[in-house]
Amino acid sequence: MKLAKDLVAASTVPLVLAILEEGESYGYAIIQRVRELSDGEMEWTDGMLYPVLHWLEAHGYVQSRWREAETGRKRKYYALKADGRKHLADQKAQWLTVHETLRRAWRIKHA
Amino acid sequence: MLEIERRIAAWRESMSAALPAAPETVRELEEHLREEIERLESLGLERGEAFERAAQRLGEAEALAREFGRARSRWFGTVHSEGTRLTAYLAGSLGVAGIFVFSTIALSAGLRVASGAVRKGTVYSNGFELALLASWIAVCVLAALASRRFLAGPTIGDARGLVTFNLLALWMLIGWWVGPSALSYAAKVATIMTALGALWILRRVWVSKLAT
Repeated sequence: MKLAKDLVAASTVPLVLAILEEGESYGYAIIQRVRELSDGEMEWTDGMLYPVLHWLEAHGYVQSRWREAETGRKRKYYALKADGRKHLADQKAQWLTVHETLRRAWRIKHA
Repeated sequence: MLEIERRIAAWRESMSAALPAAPETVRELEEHLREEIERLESLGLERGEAFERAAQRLGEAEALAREFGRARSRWFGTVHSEGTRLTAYLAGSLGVAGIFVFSTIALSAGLRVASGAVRKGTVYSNGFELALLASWIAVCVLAALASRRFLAGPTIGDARGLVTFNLLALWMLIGWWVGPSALSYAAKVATIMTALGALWILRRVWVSKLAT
């Protein structure tokens, strides 16, 4: 399904934060997880994730550190911070509000 | 050198050109590229094709640089030009240094007046001149505070460096505060510290175009 650009853009931050809430992760793994969670419907342009991660770090929502895997591959891991958790909760509340409103507008029965 | 390493090196060159002051970001993207190449190879793709696909998925260097730039202005709201920010750093730095210098003068003068050790006609011996000093301190405070408005930007870390530099200036001022003659030393030290601080910030501002 082709998703509107705005939708993808708006959902990037809450998605990334929610995935990081599951645990510390790095860019590549986050993209794989999004693909998993969306059953392949959401395929981000890989590069677009990194500006978002840097934006999140600049705002103090996440913190990063380099870790070396046993394979020798170096990865920059991102972890959620307390402010990030708060922001995630805030984003979740907003999305649920919109979802509930749309649900009522479309009169969709509970799935 | 393997063909693939040559292609990755070329890719790295174009990325570094698009993201000049963000070597860590380029490294992060390169690691991502390598991981994707590995994954595609494991799916059966030939190495060269895996590289093509992986590079395409990452996106064009210019598009990425634009996204990072857009993210940068989203971080801090209005990011003023480098020139404006440099002026703000200098104004703020001079303001803070001025606060220290004039406060020291005022304190010393005030103590002399209070202890009665001053003869009529000595500088800063009367209320008017002390009030003048107080107004200069107020101006410096305002300059320091006002400059903060313009300091937001990728080099925001330098604002903290600025504070450190001026705290060092204060420390030296206190150390040199022994008598009337020490005040000129203090002023010189404060000026040197401020100039050093401004030069240091100048270098940082010029070097870092993008925050990593």
